[in-house]
Amino acid sequence: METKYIIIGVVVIVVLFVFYYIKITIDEKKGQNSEEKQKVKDIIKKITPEGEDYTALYAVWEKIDIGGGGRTVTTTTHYWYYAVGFKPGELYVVPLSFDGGDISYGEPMNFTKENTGMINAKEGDSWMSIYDLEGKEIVSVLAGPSNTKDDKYHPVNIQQKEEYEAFCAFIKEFMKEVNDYHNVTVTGKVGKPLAKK
Amino acid sequence: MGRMLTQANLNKTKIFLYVLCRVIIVIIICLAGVRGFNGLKEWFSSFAGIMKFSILFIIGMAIGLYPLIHLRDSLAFYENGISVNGREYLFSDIGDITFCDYRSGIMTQQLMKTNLRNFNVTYIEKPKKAYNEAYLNQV
Repeated sequence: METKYIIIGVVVIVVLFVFYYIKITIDEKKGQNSEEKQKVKDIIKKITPEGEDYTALYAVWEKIDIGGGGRTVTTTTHYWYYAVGFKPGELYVVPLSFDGGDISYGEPMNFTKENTGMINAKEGDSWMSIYDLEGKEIVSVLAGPSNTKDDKYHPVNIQQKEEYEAFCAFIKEFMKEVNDYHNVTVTGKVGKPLAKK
Repeated sequence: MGRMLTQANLNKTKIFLYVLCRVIIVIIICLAGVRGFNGLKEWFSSFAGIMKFSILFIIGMAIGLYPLIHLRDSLAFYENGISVNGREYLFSDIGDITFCDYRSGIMTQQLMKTNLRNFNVTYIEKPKKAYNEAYLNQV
């Protein structure tokens, strides 16, 4: 292979890397006080009782199913988006739906230790699965400090480092509160909340 | 079904664009198959050649023009159900609706999944937006 083709290849990779790096940096800057972040806050403000202060956070959940048979392998990725509002002892989760730049939201779910059967999470992690009193999973959420518009399935620029740290602390407290109330011990493994007897 | 909440329009531009792309591909494949315009002249020099080419061309055009079948597509959301291509379905029968992009090679389809069946809404303009406006709250 001629040297010039190797050089062209390296230059293309470097240009793509620089382009991607610049895009991520711009998206992160945009996300500090983005319109989407404000909309998440507005949704939480709208659905929570007036006068009470909830921390608003953007969360997601992704699940990959691998199927097919024979020579065909199909991969299906499911995406769920949520606005989360929380304060000590109480949690609101609101399903979001995106289309282009528009954000719509569905019926809010309210969780307290009385109406929640169990919380499965791992201390220090930023995800939690919430179960009803019969042990059926209601919803799972995962929060990240940085969300950028990578593609149509990652539709927002939201930077939320402070909210993310508060959420990690909240998960730990809320999990303890709910699980102690119902006398449950969880595994902290996704999809497997209880240890096999 | 109750009151109609929103209606999604047909994306005619997309249909015609898809048809155009497919027809161009079919013509290119046909021309490549007969080895260019000179080869085409040879095929047209005999009746059997004309017949063979006509059959291949008709099959090719049927494949190319296939998206035109979606010119009758329609989608509307009601209080208690949906109407897809003129047929009505109640939520009690179809359950929840989710939207899904299905990719196979370079082809992408948008499907509206229900418990009853999956509806192809590729040629409907912004079906998810119409759904969101019908049943979800707007910020």
